[in-house]
Amino acid sequence: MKIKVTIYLIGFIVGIFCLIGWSNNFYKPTPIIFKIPKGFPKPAKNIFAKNPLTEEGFALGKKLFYDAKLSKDGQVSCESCHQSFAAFSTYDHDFSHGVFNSFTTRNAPSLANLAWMDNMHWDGGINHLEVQPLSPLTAANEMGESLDTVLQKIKADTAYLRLFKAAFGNANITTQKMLQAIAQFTGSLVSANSNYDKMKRGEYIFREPEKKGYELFKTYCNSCHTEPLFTNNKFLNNGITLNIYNDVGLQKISLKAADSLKFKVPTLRNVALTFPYMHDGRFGDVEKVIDHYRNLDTTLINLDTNLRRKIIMTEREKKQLALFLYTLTDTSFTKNKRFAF
Amino acid sequence: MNKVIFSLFLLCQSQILIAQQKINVNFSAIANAKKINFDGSIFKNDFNESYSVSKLKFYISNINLISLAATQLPKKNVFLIDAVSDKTVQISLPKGKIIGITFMLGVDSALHCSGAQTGALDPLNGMFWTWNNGYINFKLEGKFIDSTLQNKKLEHHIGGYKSPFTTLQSVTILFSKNYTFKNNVNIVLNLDAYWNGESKLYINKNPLIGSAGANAFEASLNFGKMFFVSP
Repeated sequence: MKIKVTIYLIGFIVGIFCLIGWSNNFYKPTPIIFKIPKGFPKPAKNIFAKNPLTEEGFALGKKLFYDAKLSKDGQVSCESCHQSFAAFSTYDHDFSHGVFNSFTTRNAPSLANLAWMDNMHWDGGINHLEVQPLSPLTAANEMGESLDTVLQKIKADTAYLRLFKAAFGNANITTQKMLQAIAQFTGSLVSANSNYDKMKRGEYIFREPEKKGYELFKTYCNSCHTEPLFTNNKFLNNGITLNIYNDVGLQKISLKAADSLKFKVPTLRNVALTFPYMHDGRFGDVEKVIDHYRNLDTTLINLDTNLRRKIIMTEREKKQLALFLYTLTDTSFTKNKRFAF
Repeated sequence: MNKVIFSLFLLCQSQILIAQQKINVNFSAIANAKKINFDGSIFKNDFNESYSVSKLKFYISNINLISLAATQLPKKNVFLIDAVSDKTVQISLPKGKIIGITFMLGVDSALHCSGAQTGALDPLNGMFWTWNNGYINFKLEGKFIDSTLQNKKLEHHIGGYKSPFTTLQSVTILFSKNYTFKNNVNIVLNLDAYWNGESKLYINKNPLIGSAGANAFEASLNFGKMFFVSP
């Protein structure tokens, strides 16, 4: 009798140990709660609804974002054109570089607060954050690689096998899983801690010229570069001329003549770090951009209605407006170790 | 009492099982009444233009059988058909007197902008535009023999989900009276009808269509009439 009980007991204990061992192998990623900063609107759609944000998914996305191996010549990663210290734009370059010393025809925009954006790229050709990487990965003058080869490179790397398993429960590497992981990283890039934000939260007091600049901003800029995202996410014609590449912007996507030279209104967050400006980097500094609007021919056809009103602004006011725009620099974002390589 | 409920439950279950049927839908493609074999064979369209076919892929979605039963649930499904290998797709549908078949040529517009997809909709299939997002609903590649261009390329990538150039088209085929339906439907794409339908597609005019827009839309208008059911 006693022996029987002992056997049962041993069996029971062995069973428990087996269960613990099994559960350790069980897939259990650490969820991340996506926090909406104070004062920010709720995103129009939850980009993580079908792609649950986890620490493991984010880590995988980050590795993919910084991996130059994915490009055809092994030299270009997402980060090559979206540098963390430049608020994920291309620092001090009008046109971003691609593989084999090629050049793109556009200035790579900053990647901040993408969870609040619907259509992406200067021309709106991208309809969802998840599918955006397909464009730079495969474009001949960007990363220049075929999707098939990108996936082969990832599958051949055991470090990736581990990361995919941790993020998604199995090492079944697909286009979808790769893109979802990248979206977990890029969608998490939130910038909401500049001096402007601190001023709003009562943690910083604007200096006199910044305060005056803010007033000017609210008068002349806010209708398109709307607070707190500093963009209304629309595609508008701001009066810039056609460049040598005949880049017509939204018209190429929508095929409507009325959309000629309409480009995405970029966020002004971290604007001091994202120079040069416009889709082709034609303006080297903030004051040149303000000059563009001051000197604008308000009778141009297709010009956005918000720009029909002539801007009367002194040189002194221009400097004040620039000083306000510099309060949008968020070093806790650009130096965040969680985002940087 | 409990026994009665239990048997009622079983009865309902079996009813559901009976009401479903598995249908095999086979797709193949012909031109000039000959099966397209991707062997470089030369075909002619109704405008006496010669061409060969090296690739023919298209999306079929929401296949449904037309039944005499009053209500038929719309079936959400999507398949990528590659005419190189005749493809059979299996679908489960409610039973009833079947008088025809209906499906969409192309991908449902909602799926064009729902983020990264997998399976038939995996961008790896080469049917997704990366610079102006959206699926290529119908892809025909080959050679335009009469072309004056050196590479003689024939490339019709027909897609676009936004108004006014939507290329998603519905196809409805009603079975003829002497057709006996046996859970196996053979759908044939007749390429002759692609060139000459509601729109007259002269290859010479547009050997290359590679983006959404008026040309793609015009071509898509012929999708509706290029399929037939073979016995």
